[in-house]
Amino acid sequence: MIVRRLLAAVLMLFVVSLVVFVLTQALPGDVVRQMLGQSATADQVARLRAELGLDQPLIAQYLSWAGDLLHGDLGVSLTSGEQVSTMIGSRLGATASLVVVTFALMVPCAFVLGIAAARRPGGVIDHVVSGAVTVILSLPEFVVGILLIVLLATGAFRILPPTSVIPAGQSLWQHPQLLILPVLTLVVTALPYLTESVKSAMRDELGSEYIRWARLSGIRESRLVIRHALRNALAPSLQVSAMTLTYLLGGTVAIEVVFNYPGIGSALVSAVTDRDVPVVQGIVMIVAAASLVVYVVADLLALIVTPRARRRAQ
Amino acid sequence: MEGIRGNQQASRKRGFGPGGRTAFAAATVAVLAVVLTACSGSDSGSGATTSPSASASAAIVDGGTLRVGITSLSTSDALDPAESSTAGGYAIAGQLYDTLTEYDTEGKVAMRLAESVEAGKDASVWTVKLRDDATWSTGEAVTADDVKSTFTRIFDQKLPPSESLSYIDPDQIAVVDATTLTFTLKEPTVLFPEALTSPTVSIVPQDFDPAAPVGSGPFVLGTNTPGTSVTFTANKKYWAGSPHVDSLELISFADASAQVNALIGGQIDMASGLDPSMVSTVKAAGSGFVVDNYATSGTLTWQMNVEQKPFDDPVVRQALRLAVDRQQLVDQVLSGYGTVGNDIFNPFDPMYNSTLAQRSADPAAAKKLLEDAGYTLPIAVELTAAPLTSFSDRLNEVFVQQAAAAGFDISFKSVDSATYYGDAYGTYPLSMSYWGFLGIFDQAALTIANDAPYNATKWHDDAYDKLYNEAVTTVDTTRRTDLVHQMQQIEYDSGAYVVAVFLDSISAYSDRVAGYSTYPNTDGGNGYHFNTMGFTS
Repeated sequence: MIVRRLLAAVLMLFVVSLVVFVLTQALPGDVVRQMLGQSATADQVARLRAELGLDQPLIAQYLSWAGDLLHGDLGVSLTSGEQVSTMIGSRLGATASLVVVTFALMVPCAFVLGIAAARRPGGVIDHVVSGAVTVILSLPEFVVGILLIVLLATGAFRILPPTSVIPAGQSLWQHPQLLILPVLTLVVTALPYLTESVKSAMRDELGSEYIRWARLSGIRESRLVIRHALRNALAPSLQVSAMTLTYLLGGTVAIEVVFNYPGIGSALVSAVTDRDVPVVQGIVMIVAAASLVVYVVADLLALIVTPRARRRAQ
Repeated sequence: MEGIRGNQQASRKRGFGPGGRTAFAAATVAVLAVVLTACSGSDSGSGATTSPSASASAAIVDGGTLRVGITSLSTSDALDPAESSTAGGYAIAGQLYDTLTEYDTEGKVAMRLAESVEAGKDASVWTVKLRDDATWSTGEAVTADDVKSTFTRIFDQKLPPSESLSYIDPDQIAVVDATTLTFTLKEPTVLFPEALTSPTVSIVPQDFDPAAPVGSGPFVLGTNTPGTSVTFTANKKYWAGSPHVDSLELISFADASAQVNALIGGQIDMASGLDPSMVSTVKAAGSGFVVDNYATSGTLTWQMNVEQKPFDDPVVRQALRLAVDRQQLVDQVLSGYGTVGNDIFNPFDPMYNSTLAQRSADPAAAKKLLEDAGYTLPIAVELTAAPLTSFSDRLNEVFVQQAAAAGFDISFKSVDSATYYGDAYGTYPLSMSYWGFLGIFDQAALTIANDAPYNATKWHDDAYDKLYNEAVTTVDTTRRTDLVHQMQQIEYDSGAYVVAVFLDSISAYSDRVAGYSTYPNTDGGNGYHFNTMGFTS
């Protein structure tokens, strides 16, 4: 079963790479004209195109890229001439830090708030969570980011660094304060939705027959919530958590531009703008692979926490 | 992801200044910052000072690291100056290398690595004399052989300047002595000294390796993270004197408001190439910052393609030029940080024709021109443009409204720059381009005269070419000025560019920073001359 999932994941990656390649080719313009701009002459375009191997047929270009990938080689950036792996290596770490820290902070909060809201439907927490979902869904991440910057960094209170510029030659972890605003923005953006999902999963469980029976048979409320309802609500919540995690991977794109955060999201934006196909492919492959891993892990965890499904799988 | 599509940075060609960024975000921040600052009540009344070159007299203490936020570096920025085609590439070249000549603080051609560049009697033979105190960062002297090999390398490898400098014959560069050489050109031209100001013809050593670049410039390369940041250390033995600071960091910002936020937050010392709409944000941030601006020859110009309808008719071209309210563009879109243009290039060139009457908006007259010529109004046209700067879309939108009053129905299509330069490039009836920082001759050679290589208007005029061809071979300044005035008269009367505004170069910096000057004919804040800048404390 696990093997089948992994095989499906690899096949999926292949399809993604093909789709991304076709899409980038379908975009108007190409990297050479973008680089030469208004100073392009036919000779210069031809020279640079040959230099970059873009005069080869498309299928040959894709196959050569895919062949290199099988050897773990992501290729070379068309614009900078750097290895794609070098180019996105440190950026990948920065984005991963952002996503993992956000997720680690958000999940406990979502569960605590979600459970509290589910226990008192119509209560204050319930209303706040529903209200927050409505408000946040209508606000793009970058607007939340801008509001937080003005509030906490450049306007009313100047207590946090407004952008995530890492001093040259140093790493993000030497300056953890640079993470605060981007993480806060992502938490604010994604927390209400996850909380709402936990809340409704819990409410379904708490309203179900077996809980009512258990309650009637005198089981303590805290035990009821944690041992029984939460356990059953965990599987759907894990799925939503996995979705949230992959959403965060995508959500960092806008955040990285607003905070000048040196991650793969902002690199992807410029690579698409520049039609730097190997870099686009490399980043998309990594994000797609990470997303697949997240889903597979979430599936496995769901199996573990759901006794019935576990038995069926056995 | 969709939220930021269309706001991507367009890497500008031959350009400086603010990049294409989240204009909405910029506006939002500007408004919010003003509101919140007003609410907090702490900074009221003490805005940043706007004072061109106010800091020039302050005493600079040597040392420190100057962190400059620029919009924007890109992964296309080349370390090889001859391959450079982006604003970031020019910024890097200005630190690592020297050009033979450069534009000075008044926008005039001045000597840099050369001590003199002199024409023979008819501008076909040029003698370049190098200064004798320049050395490579490795310590050896810069020689005439290095200069010769810089040019032969460009032509041997068919690098881009080989097309813009097609009048140079690489086989006719003769080394006279260690610091003197002569260029015998394929055709005589007086634009030789100004063409040598281009960062793409920066002088490099004979064994130049772009992967480990050695130059004679004020700084030496430290680390390069393409598209993110580039660091430099001072070349203490620089012939013009060691830079004031020990090191320099150029930090890329894809977003105009992030750049300003970083300045306010103290994460950079200088924001170079500011979006005009961000000035109020800096001013609202208190007294610790200086906003400095000066007029430049940089322009966002509309290009009317004379091979396409309706601009094949000179009457329609003149009508559109009359439709534009130039002062309104400066006031509304550039927040006053610009000057009006008169449909001809480079007011900083000594030969600029300032006798032509300033064209001002007269939509009624424009309409009459069109109706008299038999057109049924409105005339529908499509305008295609990339986000060349963070405010170029706004400029286009106001332009469209203005043209409507004169009977033009312009539909504006904003596309990213790779799309813009794609297969359809050259077929747009109306488009926008970024030009400037070129002398009148260089501009004409590249974009106007004799089917110039980068002429997107396709405009061609025999009388103009005749004047140009005579002027470029005329060494006598008075006579040449007269010819240039006639050339610009023709452009003014029937040309195909709408040169409506010239953009100010705007920078904001910490009040601890000094040494800022004006470079009206050079890319970037302070013309990217970071060696003259430093800290007062």
